[in-house]
Amino acid sequence: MKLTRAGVLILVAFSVPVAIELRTVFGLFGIDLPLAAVGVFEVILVAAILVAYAITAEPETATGP
Amino acid sequence: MEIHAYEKFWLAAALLLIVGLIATVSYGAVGAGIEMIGDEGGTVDPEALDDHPKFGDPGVYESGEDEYDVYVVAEQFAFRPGTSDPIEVPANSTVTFHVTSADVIHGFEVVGTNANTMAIPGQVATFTVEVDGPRDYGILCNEYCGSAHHAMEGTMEVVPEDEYDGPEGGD
Amino acid sequence: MATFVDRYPEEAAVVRATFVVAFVSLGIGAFFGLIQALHRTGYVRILDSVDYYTILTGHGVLLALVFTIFFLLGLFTWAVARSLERPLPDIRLTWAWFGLTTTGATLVAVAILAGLIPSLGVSADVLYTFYAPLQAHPLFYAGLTMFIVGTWMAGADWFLAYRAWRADNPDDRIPLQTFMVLTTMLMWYLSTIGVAVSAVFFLLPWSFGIVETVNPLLTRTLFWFFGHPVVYFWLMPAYLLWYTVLPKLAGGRLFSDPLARVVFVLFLLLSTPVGIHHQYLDPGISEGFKFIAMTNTMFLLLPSLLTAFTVVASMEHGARQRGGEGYFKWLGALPWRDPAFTGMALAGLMFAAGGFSGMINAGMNINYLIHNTLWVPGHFHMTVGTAVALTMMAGSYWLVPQLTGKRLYSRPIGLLQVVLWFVGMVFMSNAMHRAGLAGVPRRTAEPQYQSFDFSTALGSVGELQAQIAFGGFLLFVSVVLFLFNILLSSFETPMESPVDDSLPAPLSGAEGSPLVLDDLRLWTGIAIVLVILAYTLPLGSIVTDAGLFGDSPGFPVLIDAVAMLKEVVA
Repeated sequence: MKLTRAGVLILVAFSVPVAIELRTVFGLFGIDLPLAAVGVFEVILVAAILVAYAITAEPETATGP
Repeated sequence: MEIHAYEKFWLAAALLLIVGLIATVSYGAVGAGIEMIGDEGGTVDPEALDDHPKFGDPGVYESGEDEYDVYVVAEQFAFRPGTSDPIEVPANSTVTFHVTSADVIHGFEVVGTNANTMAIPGQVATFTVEVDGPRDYGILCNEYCGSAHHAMEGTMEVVPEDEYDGPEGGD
Repeated sequence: MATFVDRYPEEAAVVRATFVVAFVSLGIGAFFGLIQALHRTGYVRILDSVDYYTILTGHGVLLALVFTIFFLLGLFTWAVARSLERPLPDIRLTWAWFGLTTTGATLVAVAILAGLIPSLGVSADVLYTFYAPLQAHPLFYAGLTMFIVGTWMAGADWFLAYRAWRADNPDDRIPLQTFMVLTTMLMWYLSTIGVAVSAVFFLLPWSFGIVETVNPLLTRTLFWFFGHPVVYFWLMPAYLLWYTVLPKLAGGRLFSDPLARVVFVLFLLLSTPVGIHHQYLDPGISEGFKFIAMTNTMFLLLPSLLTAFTVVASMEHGARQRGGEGYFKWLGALPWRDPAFTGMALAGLMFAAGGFSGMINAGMNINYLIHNTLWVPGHFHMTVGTAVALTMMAGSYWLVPQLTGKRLYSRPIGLLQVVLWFVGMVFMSNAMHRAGLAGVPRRTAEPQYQSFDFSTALGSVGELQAQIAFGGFLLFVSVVLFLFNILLSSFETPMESPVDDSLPAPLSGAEGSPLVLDDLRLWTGIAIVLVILAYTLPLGSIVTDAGLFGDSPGFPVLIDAVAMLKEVVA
């Protein structure tokens, strides 16, 4: 599947609630994650999305994202 | 009218969720005995609270062994008792709150618990809570009641049974 | 190829006018929201805390009533004209209701904003719910009444258009969009009786001093008689767009027309007899009546859950038409570049989350933990603040070019705008829900108390406040981008090839569905019976308790609060 620039933007948007709610999920199991861990996790998610984009993207026209 | 099979399945699941939610609340009320605020508190004349046998002298009253009644008047912008004097009750007791308002609509929330009610002029909100170990609680008004609403707060102190020096019977 | 403005130029002018009012109040209301987010978290306090409540009243009224309802007035006018394929019966009537609603809304806004200038002696810092015996200036109640009467005239306008269409098409099914408009308006007529009675018979005479006292529980109950159905009045325009426009944007067609009708009928039936679920903690209403309201509320989940199915199914159909495959891979085939599509899809996603937090609110006993805490604004910023507001903004990217004949200034900025809204709301709403669980109250200028601290389950109060302020900032930036995009679009040159505003026919059409679905008289009758069943006894007992006019004198919000506070502290 080809990732477009718009697709990257949407995936980054989806990654934010995932990262924020990660803390809630760990909290349910009694593990209190510090805020920094959430930040690091979000950075990893964004990096993964960008890597996926770099691998799959075709050269785009200037009309994006 | 054509209804897709997946849609029928979804409809059934949705109805199950709805009935399940209603069932949990019903169980909470009947089985677990969670008391909720109704109309059993009766009415008062908000203009004549001073003549009321209890609200005229609000505070903690002993109603039985380890059972207390707390009468609280909410008014712009304080709780009586609560704001200038804390509400003091002994640990491991059963406390029934009777809350009303002398002026506008207020809220009465014991912070971090489900002891929470509206204080409506003319109406008395009555609810009973089980108090456990000694601890201090904050009380706040959670309904906008005028320009200094954010300053309307109080405290409730649950003290060890042997340190409790009897109900105040007003402030 | 012609678009809406070419076919119905007079109607397009009215719709543009309603959108202008809606967007102006969106801008002001969003600015107030930013002030509040920074004030109550303690980051920036440009105003005195006393004035916070003026700003809060303005934020609530301008966004929840003026922005949403003016957008609805425009959208429904568009939907009726295009789906009946005829102009409205008399454009003067249309301009008359626009004039009346706009005048009413302006009076209300003036009464509220005058609170910032004490020398005027006018104040309406009573918040969006205007609970008596807090008393606003009569201008506030009068403006509100004019606004409501204006919406009734708008409904009459659409019903007249329908009657004219019916005379020419005696045997046809009601077109879907018109069906949605009519059922929504029937719900609105039924539910606004509560607020109209409250304002005209009780609050207005009381604010003028004609009657001395008011029954606070009665006016409060009448408010919520209207105050929950108004939620669906905001939501129905979003549903109209999700059902009829979103499938087209996704590249497909609506899954099922009859089920869309069933959903709107359910909303007509169940929207009103539920208002008491906002009063679970009110003394003077027995638990039995509250339980009835809760049961109705839970069944009201059904139409929303059905909508979730239909919307996702229609999107999937669209994606497969565009070449999408697999169990989940089809999601990648959706037109994510289109801000109108993406905004509506994100709004729908967040509505699912808001729906779950709403189930907590609706639970009669668990509600005690979160009633009047910050959880509640956390919830409704996901529903009216995103499901509705974001859908309306996204819809504008598709609608405005049809109404002006001009292209949109920038689609990439539009895409960024809807994504920013989603991300900002994730930050703000998540923190609000969590703060609410810790007991932090809503509707307060300074949630910092002297005699106690809040203890949060996860993270610190400081982190939650940072999240709220940051989210609020992103949301404000998003609104600024939206307004600039729309403003600059109005300076574009007219398009050569206008927007294709045709809507494809549903996969299952109305033909096979029972005719009884279109029997509006029957559904209205049942809705009235349900309201009578749910409200007669509670209202009767409230009136028996304290009389129609009660015992509470007015407490005007203009009293010198600072002096009063000094008295309390001393």
